[in-house]
Amino acid sequence: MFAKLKKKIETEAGTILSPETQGKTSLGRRDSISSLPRAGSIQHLGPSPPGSITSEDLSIRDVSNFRDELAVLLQKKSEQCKKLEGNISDLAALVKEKTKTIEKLESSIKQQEEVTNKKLQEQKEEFEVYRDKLIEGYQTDKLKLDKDKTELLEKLADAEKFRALYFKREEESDEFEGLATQELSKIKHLLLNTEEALNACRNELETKSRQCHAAETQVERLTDELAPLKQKLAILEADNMKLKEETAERAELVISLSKDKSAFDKRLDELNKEMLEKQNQLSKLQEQYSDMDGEYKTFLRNSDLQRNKTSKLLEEKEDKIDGLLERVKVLEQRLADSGLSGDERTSALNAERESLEKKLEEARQQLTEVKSTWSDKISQLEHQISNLNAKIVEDSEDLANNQKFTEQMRTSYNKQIEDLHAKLEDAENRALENLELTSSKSFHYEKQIDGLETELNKQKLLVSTLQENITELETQKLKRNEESEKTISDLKQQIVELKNKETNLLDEVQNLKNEIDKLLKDSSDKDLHIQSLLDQIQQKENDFILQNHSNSNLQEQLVTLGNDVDRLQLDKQELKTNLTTAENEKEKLLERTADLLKERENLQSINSNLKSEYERALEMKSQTIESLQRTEAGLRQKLDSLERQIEQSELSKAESGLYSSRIDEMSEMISSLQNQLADKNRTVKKQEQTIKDLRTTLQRELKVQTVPSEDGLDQTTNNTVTSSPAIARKYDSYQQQHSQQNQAGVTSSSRTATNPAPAVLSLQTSSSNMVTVTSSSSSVPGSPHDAMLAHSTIVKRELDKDVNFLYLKHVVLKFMLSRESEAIQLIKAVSMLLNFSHQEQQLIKETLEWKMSWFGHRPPLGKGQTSKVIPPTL
Amino acid sequence: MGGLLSYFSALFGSKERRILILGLDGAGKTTILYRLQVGEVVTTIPTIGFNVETVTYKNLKFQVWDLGGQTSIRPYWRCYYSNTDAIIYVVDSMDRDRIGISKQELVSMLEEDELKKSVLVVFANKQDIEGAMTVTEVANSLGLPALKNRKYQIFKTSAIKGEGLDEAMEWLTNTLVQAK
Repeated sequence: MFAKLKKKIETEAGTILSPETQGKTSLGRRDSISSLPRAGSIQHLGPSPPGSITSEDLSIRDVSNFRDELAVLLQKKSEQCKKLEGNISDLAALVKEKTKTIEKLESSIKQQEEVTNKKLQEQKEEFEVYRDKLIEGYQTDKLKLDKDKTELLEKLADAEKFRALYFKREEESDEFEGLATQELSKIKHLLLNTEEALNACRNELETKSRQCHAAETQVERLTDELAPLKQKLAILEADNMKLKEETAERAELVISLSKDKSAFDKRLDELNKEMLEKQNQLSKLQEQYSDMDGEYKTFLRNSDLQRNKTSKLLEEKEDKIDGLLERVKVLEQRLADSGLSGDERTSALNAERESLEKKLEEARQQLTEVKSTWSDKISQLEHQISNLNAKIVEDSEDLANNQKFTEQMRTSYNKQIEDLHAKLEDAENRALENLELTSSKSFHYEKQIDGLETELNKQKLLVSTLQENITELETQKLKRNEESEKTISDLKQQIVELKNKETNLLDEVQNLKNEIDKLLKDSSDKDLHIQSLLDQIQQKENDFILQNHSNSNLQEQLVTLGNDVDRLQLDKQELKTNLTTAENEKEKLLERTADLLKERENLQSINSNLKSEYERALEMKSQTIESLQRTEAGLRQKLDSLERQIEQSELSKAESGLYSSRIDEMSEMISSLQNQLADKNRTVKKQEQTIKDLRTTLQRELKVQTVPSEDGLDQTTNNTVTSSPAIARKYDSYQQQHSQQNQAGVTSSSRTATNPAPAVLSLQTSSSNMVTVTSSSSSVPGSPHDAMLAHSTIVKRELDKDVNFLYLKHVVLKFMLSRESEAIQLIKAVSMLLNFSHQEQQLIKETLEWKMSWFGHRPPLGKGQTSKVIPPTL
Repeated sequence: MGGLLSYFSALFGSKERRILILGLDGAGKTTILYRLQVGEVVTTIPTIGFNVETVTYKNLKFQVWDLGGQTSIRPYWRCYYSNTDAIIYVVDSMDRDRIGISKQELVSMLEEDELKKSVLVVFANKQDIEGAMTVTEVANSLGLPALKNRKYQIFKTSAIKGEGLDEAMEWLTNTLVQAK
């Protein structure tokens, strides 16, 4: 139980000790006060309890040796009592020590007070002295600074003047250089132009010479061509002669042919006559022939008829003779028979009849014979007739043949005549043709001759013209050559002049350079002056010595001069800042004095606080002491009670069970005491924490009081910074830019005049940004303007999506950015996209053409309100 | 100054031939234009407007106009027809669905009076893709055999691989030189 307590106390002591060790630097004295008694108490309290616990455990366990043990216990208790008494004495000693310490503390407080008073007095004195010194020092410093400032200002003014002069000089030199370069460039340009002209002239000359050559070659060619043409002409003339001869021959032929023709005509007439005669004869002959033929036929018929008559007659006569003869015979027989008897007569009559029959048969036979003969005859006749007929046919055929022949003859004659006529005509035609041919040929040849002659003349003329041309060209060439030579000489002269000009310009440039050099020298003189001034400054101030040592080269000098100027400015600024800082410092010092006063007051207040704290601590300590005394009293009471309990235990030795309960009670008591102690410790801790808090608050207050004095200026500067950081940033950036540009301008030593423009621009942009910001901030949401904006953005978005709009944009952009000659191709597209009328389209086209052309007049674009063009400002 | 330059160029330089590259959107007109000019395949975006480049082929200068082929800006083609020497009509051989539209556009274009004398070259483009229409298929579906009074030729091309472009340009230059 006590072990726990001990541990607790130890841990608490540790926990208490640790913050105290932390706070040792500030409160070294206190821990000695607080730590001493506690350590002692812990050491004294520590060893006693364990024995009691073990003995109690033993007494509870062994009852047999109870009495002996009780005696031992009593002894132990008595020892304990003794120990407790010792403890009490120790505590009394502790109390005494504490009182002593209190006294010591009081004395120390008194001492401290004295010390603090002394310190305060010393500090006051020191402060007063320091303040006086500071004031004096500041006053002197201020005077010095004022002097320096005035001097520096004067120097600065001088330097600025010099700088301005130097810039002027530089600008002038730049201008001169620019002018020189311009002149040079002009000269170069002129030279280039002249060279170009020369080249052009040369080219022209070359072309002309080429043309001449070409013309010569042409002439040669033509002369070459002329020879064959002449030959041709000779040939043609020979041909002509031949043709003439031919024509003569032909004429002769024609004459002969005409003669022949006349002869032929005569012959033809004769032949015609003959033919007519022959025809007449023929007709006569035909007539005769026909007559003859008729006669012949009649004769033939008559002869036939007569022959037939005669033959008939003869036959009749012969028949009559035969008949008569027979009748004679018959009659003779009849006469002979008439005399004979009846049989005889019958026989004679039979004989007669037989004879008569015979005769009849004979007659019949004769008749058949006659008939046959007649038939033969008839057949013969028929044959004859057929023969005759055939003959007639043959005759007729012959006649027909003859006729045919005659006709053929006639036709042949006719044909012959016709042929002859045709031949004649042909001959005539031929003759005519020949004549025509000859005439045409002669004409043609004449024409050809004429043509050739004209050609020849032409060619001659051409040759002459070409020769003239050549001569002209040659003359031209010569002229050109002369001209070109002239031009070349002129150009050369020009070149010489230009060169002279160039040399002059170069001289001028050199003069300018000399001037520049002079100026530079002047500037160097000025620089020297400045340097002397700087030396003076150096003499006055050591700061400027280092800056002007490195000025060896002129440009470097210039640069350094600029730098120096900048540095001077910077120094000025620095000095200004120094001044301001000095003033600030002064102010600060004043403030610090005030602060120090405040601090003193604070310190006093702190001291008083500390005093009060200390008093409070003392009170607390006294309270703790009192509480400890109380606890002591309580402990004593407890001790008394314990003694009483012991007595009671002694009294009730037999009642061992009660003892344990008492031990329990005691342990409870101890625990309660421990709790009380813990509470006390807690209160002590709380008080310490409150002290700490107070200290921290005090320190904070001190800090707060000291900080403003230092941060006052920063705050003021910060205020300006924080009030508008964006502007400040921009201003800073602008300043940086400006400084950079200035540096760049100095280093490049050119275009100093043009530099401010971008800076101004940037400023403008920044200002515009500001404006936009303010405008955006000023615009109240939900206002009609905002709505309009929203609407326009929506429209824009829609337009951006529209392909037609994109197309229009694209085409118009290209139209605007292209050259006129290219843009003219887009007029149609733009017109279609923007629904231009034909008139407008034409107007654009004309305007573009006018822009492209060198001459020509501007198309009418209207006037006044209907004007379609911005009137030119010039 | 520009006028001066153009004047001199007109005096000394041979006159440029004006060529239009037309066709539906996505047919590869811009790719062909820059393939002809630079000889490389460049990444292109849909042309809303037009691109003009000068292409020199066998000492012959061509001012090649590549006009955007989207449906809404196709009516503006006719603004560029005047003084056109040749038309390169590009057809997407893979696009079987819109070949009819392509034919309509071609026919309506060829009916213009300003293009009566211009030479027609049809590029059956995107032949590098498998399954593309053949030249004869494209020619038939465009109705080229029915064309009269028109010098025309169809080529199978691949702008990506650069195939067929040289032959086409060769033919075009020869035809234009002969026509002059």
